[in-house]
Amino acid sequence: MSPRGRFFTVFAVSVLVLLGLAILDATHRVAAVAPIDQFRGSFWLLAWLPFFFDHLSIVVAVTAVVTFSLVIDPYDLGGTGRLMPAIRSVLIGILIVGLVNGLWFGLFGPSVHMRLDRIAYRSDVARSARERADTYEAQARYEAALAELRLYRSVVGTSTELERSIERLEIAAGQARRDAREASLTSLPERVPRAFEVEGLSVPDLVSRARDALSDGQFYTAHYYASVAARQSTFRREDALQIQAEALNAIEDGIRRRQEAGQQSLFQDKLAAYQLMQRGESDPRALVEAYYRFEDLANRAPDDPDVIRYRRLTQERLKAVTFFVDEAVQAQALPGRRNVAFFNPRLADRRELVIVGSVVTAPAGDFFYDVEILRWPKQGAEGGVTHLRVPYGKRIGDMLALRSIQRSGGPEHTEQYVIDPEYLEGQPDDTTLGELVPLQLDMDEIMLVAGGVPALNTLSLVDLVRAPAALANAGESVAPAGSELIERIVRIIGYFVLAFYAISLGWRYRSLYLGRPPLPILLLVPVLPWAIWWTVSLVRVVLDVLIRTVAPSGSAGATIPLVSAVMLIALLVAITSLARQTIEP
Amino acid sequence: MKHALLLPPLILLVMTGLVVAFGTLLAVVGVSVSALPTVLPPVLLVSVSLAVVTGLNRAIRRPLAAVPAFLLVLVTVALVTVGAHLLYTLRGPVDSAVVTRAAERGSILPHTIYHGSRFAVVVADQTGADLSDVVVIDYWSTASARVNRYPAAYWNRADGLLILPDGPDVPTDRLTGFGRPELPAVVRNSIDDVLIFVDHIERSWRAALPPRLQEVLPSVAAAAARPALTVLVVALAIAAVWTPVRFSRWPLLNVVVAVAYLRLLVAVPRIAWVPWLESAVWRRAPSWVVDDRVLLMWAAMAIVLLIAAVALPSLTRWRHAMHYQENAT
Repeated sequence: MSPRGRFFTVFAVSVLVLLGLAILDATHRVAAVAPIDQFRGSFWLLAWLPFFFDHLSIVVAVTAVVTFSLVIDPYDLGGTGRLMPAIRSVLIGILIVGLVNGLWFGLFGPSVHMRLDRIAYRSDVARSARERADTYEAQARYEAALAELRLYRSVVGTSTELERSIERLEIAAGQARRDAREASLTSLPERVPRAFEVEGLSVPDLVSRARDALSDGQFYTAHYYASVAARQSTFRREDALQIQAEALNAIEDGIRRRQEAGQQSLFQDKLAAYQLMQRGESDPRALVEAYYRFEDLANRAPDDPDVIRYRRLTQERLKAVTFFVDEAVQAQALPGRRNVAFFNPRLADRRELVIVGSVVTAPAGDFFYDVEILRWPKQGAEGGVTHLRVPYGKRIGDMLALRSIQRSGGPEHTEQYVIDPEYLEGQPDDTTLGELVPLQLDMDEIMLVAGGVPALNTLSLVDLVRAPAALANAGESVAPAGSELIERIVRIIGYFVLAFYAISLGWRYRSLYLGRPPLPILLLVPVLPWAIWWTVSLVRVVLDVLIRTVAPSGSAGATIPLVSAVMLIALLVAITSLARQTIEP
Repeated sequence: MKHALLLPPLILLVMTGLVVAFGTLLAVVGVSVSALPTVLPPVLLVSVSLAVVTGLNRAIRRPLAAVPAFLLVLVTVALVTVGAHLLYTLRGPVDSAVVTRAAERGSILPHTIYHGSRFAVVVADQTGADLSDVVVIDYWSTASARVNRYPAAYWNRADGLLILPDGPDVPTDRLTGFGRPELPAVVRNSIDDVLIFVDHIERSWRAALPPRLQEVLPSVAAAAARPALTVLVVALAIAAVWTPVRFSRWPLLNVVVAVAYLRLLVAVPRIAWVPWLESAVWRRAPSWVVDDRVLLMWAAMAIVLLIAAVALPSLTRWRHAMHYQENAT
């Protein structure tokens, strides 16, 4: 076999071993993340890649060392002269693998990490939604269960079984609504007696009943009995006709009076809604009430120009201070970032820590889920601790809105349609403007710091350059971002340093055995990958510490040139070392 | 292969240079000045080890110099123990737990969020291992208990745990940058092992001899016997590195195996306490073996390698092979 063939054979065997280890690692990852069945396949497809590429440079180095130190000897290469020209195809192969390695760490790696993170997030959302749906269904809260199951469907996609479950819940929810309506009807006093059994009644009886109904103010009943009596009588019953006419007059009069009362009521309700809207400029809760009143008015008088105008105005003002729950629920199915924590340095005498379970950027806006805010006084300052929690939040301008409302509701008891923060400690204070918290970080910064240090591997090189400033603003430790940037550059250029130096070192200190070394010596060969891995890890850390010592701010402006310069010098040394190797059988 | 014999010390130089650089930088750039006395002993150790191996290299080149070379080993290892002892004396009382000192370095920036995959921690103030005003975020927890604030917490650096009153123990090693720069496990273990190694040697100054020996030896000799014994055994174990260096006719593998041997040597004080060894070996062994388990393990390693050295080809043949290689290359 040619030297090139031997090198690539050793490389293939090493890659296969690495692949096995990567799959083993992926198994652990799958077990740890536990993606839902729908995502398990795609998670598997991606999960082995990070481990594989993390160790690819080691595998190439081990291949180079073993091949050029043990497998190939000068006679295999033929002739004499420099080593490099004789192994041109091997070097080209190393360059190609190095290119793939560089593309991974510079481009594909972060997006794969991001995909894996998103799968984990969406699995969590789906799993939680499914669990909540089951819980709500067991509690016979079918509407809530239906909403959760629809959220689950929007994450995992549709299936026959799921559609059947949703249909079943829709039926159950509809039945529950009907039951509730009937229950409310049966609880009302019986306003209309069952008065229309006319069979067997004589005309005088009918007239008598008509008269009674008229005197009771039951004009429709009176009119009905009187009409039946007039029809059944063999002669013209003036009394029946008179009751019929009086009842008709009373009905028409009643309609007119009701219309007048309705218009008066409409006017009063419009005035009340308008006043609430005006008050809403300083009191967002009043604005919420105004919204529900105008929604009610729009049902009653859809063509009323006042209602149309002020309803629209109310909605616009409402969108500036709150948001609809259904928007947040719908957006939750979209890919997002998890585990966000940042300091919001807006208060002079207090610290404000914002913790968010997940963040999603959707067409309808930026939504926050499982929000908690903790405020405590700075050293020397007075004041208590405030700890609040709310399931949904939305960024509106530079504010984080913590109050969400149901899109549909009624003008009465509006509090039941509003989700306000729950105060676990302390009370609402004047630091929030009607449950609006001014945010000092913009959305871009929040997405950059999402997940903290463990999520830095999801950031592209460009994002990593911006990350230190965002982390500093968020009150997180900055150093890891600088380290990650150094690590990325070291991984990209270091691959070539390692590969070239491994060939050089392996060849220079190659085995002097003629043929295969004794078995005890071969049994020690696994020490080689360990030593390379150990040395490489040590060198990476030392480089990181060295560079962060010179550029402690972790800023990209200082870090990138420094680390690039160091690595290029190392590359130059490695290439020079390789170029000096000769073939002398 | 003109410099074949210089390869082992050269490799060791690179390795120890990296450790030295890292340790010194940690001390100088690190967040706590108190890290300096902790870092210096291993720096001293690796530097001296380098001198030992270099000395041995010279001894091999000139076989008659073997005796002075071994004396050099003894002196330098003695210097390590004296240096470590002096440094620890200057530093104040020493904790009883071996591993405590190894992990005792670094500090925490106040009001900084330290993120792990499960926990995030914010500390307002730190006085040694006592932390005050600690906020712990547990992302895996149920919503009702996700964020908690504790007026005080204890940082058990030996086990890498943040002990919270009425709360979960938070593994601080998983919080990147908490107390010290995040290091890969392989590097962290290596540095910890070096510190534990030095600590163990230094502890020989304070360890009492077995009663029977104390009765036999005069007081001064009894005081010096333990450090002397330790110095002797460690010197022997370090000197035995020359066996793997000429283990085969494959120079690269020899050096790698030598480095692996030194790594193992440094890890012995930790390995001696691993639970499975405790249950498999030490439980059945007599008490004097158990008490001096580390010393005995070092001695065993040295003896095995010295016996192996006898089985290896003679020095003349080996030097001839190396000479052949030098000519060949």
